[in-house]
Amino acid sequence: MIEVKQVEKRFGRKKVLNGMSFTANKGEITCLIGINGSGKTTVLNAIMNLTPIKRGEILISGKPLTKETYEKIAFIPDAITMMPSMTIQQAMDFMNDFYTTWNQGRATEILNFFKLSSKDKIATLSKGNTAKVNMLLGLALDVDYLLMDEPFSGIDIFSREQIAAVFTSHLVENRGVLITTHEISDIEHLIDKAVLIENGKVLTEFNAEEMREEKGKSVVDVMREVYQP
Amino acid sequence: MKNFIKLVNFELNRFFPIYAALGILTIMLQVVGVFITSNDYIFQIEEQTKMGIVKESAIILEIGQMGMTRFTGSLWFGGPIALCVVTLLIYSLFIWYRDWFGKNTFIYRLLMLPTERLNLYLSKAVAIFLMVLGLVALQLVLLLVERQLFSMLIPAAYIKTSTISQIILGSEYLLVLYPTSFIAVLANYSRGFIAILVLFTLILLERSFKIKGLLLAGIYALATLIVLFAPYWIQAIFNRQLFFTSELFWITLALTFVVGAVSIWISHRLLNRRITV
Repeated sequence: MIEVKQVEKRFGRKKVLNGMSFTANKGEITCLIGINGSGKTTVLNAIMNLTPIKRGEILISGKPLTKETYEKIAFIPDAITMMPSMTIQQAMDFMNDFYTTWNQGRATEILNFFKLSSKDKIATLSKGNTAKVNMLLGLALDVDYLLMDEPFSGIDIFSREQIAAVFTSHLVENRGVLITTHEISDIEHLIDKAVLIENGKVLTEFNAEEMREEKGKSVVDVMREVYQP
Repeated sequence: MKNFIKLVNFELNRFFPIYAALGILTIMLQVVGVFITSNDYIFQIEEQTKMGIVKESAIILEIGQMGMTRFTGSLWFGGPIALCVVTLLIYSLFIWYRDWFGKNTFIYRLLMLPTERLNLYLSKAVAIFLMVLGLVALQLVLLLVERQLFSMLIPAAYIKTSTISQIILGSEYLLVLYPTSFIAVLANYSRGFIAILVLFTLILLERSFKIKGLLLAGIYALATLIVLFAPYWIQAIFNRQLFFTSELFWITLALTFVVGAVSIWISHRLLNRRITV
């Protein structure tokens, strides 16, 4: 389980995380929903220790993050995390060099699934294909948790469909997925848990299926109630 | 350790195209310099001959012998070295900022590697240091080649033969690159390596605290200078010679190592607790 407990962070005078708390379970898809500037990306960066926090605690499987944790949790930011001068093959070789959890078989499978060529240079790829390579680099790691920051942002409909298909495949099976988005329609039917945030705080969190069954409300319905009361 | 070596190798490979071009440019410029310097000298001999001076000893008396120091003091020799120094200095900044700026967000990947983050800092520093050593070694080989070329291009009677150590002793900056004693080699190169560590700490301060970090970097740079030159400041304050030259050498060297250790400690903390993508 990923536990974010009372996390605070400031950028100058602005509090971007204002006592944020939530959990993301293994085997579930948890979606952090909020408008731009609500603190979604910052909290993912904080989980990965890519930005310092002022207060609070973040635990992954009950322990604070260490260098070993990077073999258990993968982060797929909204920008490519490899050098543009590399080919996809070189990027995969780099991952294979440093991560013991790199699964080349799965990487090849994803490469074929996304119809990418390993010889292509990252710098020459379209935005959609760059996002797919970024997904590949995260998904091909045998990790317990996957963090994805706006995976559908600014890419064409077909690429979105391909990426969305990943969530129903074995590629994320039994893993804990924490995804941020402000375009909920792409994955509304796929998420297990929704965490609605605003101004660095959690407004509400709920199980999407329970909400549908018990109250007959979709995630979008709850969003309307919370953000446009 | 394995990851550290992989990172050093990775950093060396990243810079290799520019580094190779730098090496080739140095070779080309210096070799061209040898030909031009030789031609100039032969032209001077011919001028003397035209003026009616035919005896070699008389010509040498007028224009002097052609020694390597004549070449090592020229821009053809010093220019490429300066170019290498400036390029490596710029790259020492670029080696960090290239991972943050522009379309490149490679810093995400580097910081998420399952290895001590200090390895990033040390591997980049070691890579720069190895590049320096590579160019220093290349220059040593070039000196041998250049000396040989001069002996082929200029009549033997006009050549002032000199050993490599004589050539080095004849040039102030070659003496910095190739000191005459083992202790001086260790001292010069450890100072150089620690200077890279300090520079990297300044960069990490800026990357961790942004604008405030620039101020902190300025303060740290000033503090470093104060510590490194403390024995000299103390002597200046008391207006008397408090230390022997050898004592000054060892004290400043020890202080350099202290600065290096503090820089590593600060960078370790910054990378683990303060750095932001």
